[in-house]
Amino acid sequence: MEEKEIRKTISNYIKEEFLNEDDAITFGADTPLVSSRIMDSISTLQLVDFVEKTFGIEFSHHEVDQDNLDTVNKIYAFIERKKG
Amino acid sequence: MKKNFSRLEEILQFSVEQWPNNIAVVDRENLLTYSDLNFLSNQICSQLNQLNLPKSSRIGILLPKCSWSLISIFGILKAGHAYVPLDYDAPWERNHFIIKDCSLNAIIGYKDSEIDRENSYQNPIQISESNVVIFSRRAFDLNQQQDIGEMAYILYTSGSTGKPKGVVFSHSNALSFIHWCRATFTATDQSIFSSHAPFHFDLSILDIYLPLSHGSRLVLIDSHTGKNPRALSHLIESEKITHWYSTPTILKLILHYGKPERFDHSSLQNVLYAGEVFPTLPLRALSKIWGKAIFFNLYGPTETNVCTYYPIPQIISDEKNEPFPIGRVCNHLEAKLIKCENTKQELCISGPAVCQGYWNNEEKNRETFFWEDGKKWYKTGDLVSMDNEGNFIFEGRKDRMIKKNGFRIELGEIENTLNHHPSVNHAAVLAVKNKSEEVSIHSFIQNKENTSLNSADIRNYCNEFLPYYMLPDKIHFVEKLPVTSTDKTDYQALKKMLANGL
Repeated sequence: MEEKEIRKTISNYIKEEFLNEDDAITFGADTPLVSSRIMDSISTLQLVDFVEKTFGIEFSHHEVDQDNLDTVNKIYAFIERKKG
Repeated sequence: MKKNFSRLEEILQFSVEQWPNNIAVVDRENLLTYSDLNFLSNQICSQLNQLNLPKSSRIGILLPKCSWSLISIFGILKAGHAYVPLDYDAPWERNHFIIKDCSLNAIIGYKDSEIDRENSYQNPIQISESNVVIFSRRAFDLNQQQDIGEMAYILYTSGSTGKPKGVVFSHSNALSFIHWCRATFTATDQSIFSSHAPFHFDLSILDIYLPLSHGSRLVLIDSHTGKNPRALSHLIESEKITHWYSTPTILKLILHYGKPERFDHSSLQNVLYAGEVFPTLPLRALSKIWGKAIFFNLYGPTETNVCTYYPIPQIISDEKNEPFPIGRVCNHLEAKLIKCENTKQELCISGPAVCQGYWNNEEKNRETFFWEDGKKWYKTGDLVSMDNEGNFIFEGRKDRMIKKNGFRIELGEIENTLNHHPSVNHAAVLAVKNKSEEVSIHSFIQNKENTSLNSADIRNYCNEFLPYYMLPDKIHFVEKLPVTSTDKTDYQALKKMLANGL
């Protein structure tokens, strides 16, 4: 999958699963999700599960963290690092 | 119990004599023996004594889940006071309300915390060489509420009028429950208990006093780790946990996201859950993975702690779909059913573990407790039925209290907060369940004229006043909220609106 497609897949999933309609309008690759509490701890886990299954990577327990999950950019960067 | 304890701190006294060198408590950074725990809590006790507080003062604890909170609890009890655990993760506004409502005479917390900026508290005294201090009130509150008995702790829980309410427990309330726990669950000085729930929840009473009465080890799980099922799976394996107690939500998260089949969880002997219904599908799946563990469904509101329980069979048949009953009443308590409207029955509980009442809230006390047959009864608000074997089955609530992810939430508290927003004309909140019994909170907002509001505004506002677990999941803006002929929110109409996509 290309970068553009990966980003789009993540964004679409977040929009559909977690955002209010008006949140989705302003939503961008740098919109904080966890620190702004748009996503709670359970939606974060759902997202981790989705990323793992869709992109074939794995988070170890200390990687399930705001640093890797707060924005689409951070999630993308994490996926890239994992894929090496 | 081996001894007839009359106060909670005697449990520690007893264990420190029997097992001084056993590990009592483990957190991320520390490992304390029973002697250590005793020594450090004595330090807090003597510092508190020097403050000359009125007897049976209420002392707050504003610390994250760590050994110091446990040390503080025992220090406070030893000094003859009652402890009030505050929610370290909650917004300051909420804790501030509790501090005032409960008129705390002292608070144990971190130096340079919000308490430091609170004018009515002063002179932080440092404890040992830690960054934990005791703040004392400039003018002590002398109101002892004589009828409250030997108060041990106050747990604050969500209140329907919009503010949390304090539930008061005496030493004998807690000890009668602990006594029942000791008779029901097997443990030894080799057992290793986990403590998942925060100390301001009633689950913490079993978590703290049951293991410490056996000389067992207590592994404290901080709130960050507590929300990360993969870290929990890792912790159960590395700490070799034998006794687990949490809400079903956490167990479901471990099952779905914690990859329990990849870890060695064979140390688990007892898995206790409480706080909400555990759907049978995930329960069966987890009990297969944790094949050696015995599961118990514990039921009870904060006001009574566990009042009924049901041992889950080791093999759950694949045909079973409905959830297990909440079971029979514990033998230190009595149950009775009272008829409500539309033939439903409300569960009422009496006995030595039932709380003393609500702090400073006579109206709520009159509403919730009644006297009959010379006994005081607590109305749980839970509607139940009984199966053929005499087990109670949970049928729902009488009021608008809900359980979301095991947290007790009064929808009225969320509505009240939303209605205080300067641009909100009228707000209403609904709890909606999906097919897997998961609850989400929908809020409906009608703006004041000539104002504009978006979801982020509402979320930020709620973040200031509500704990994270009460934040609405979905925010809907509506032109006009439906009202009944008496001008009250029409929740039935609202449900229909939601079902029709608003």
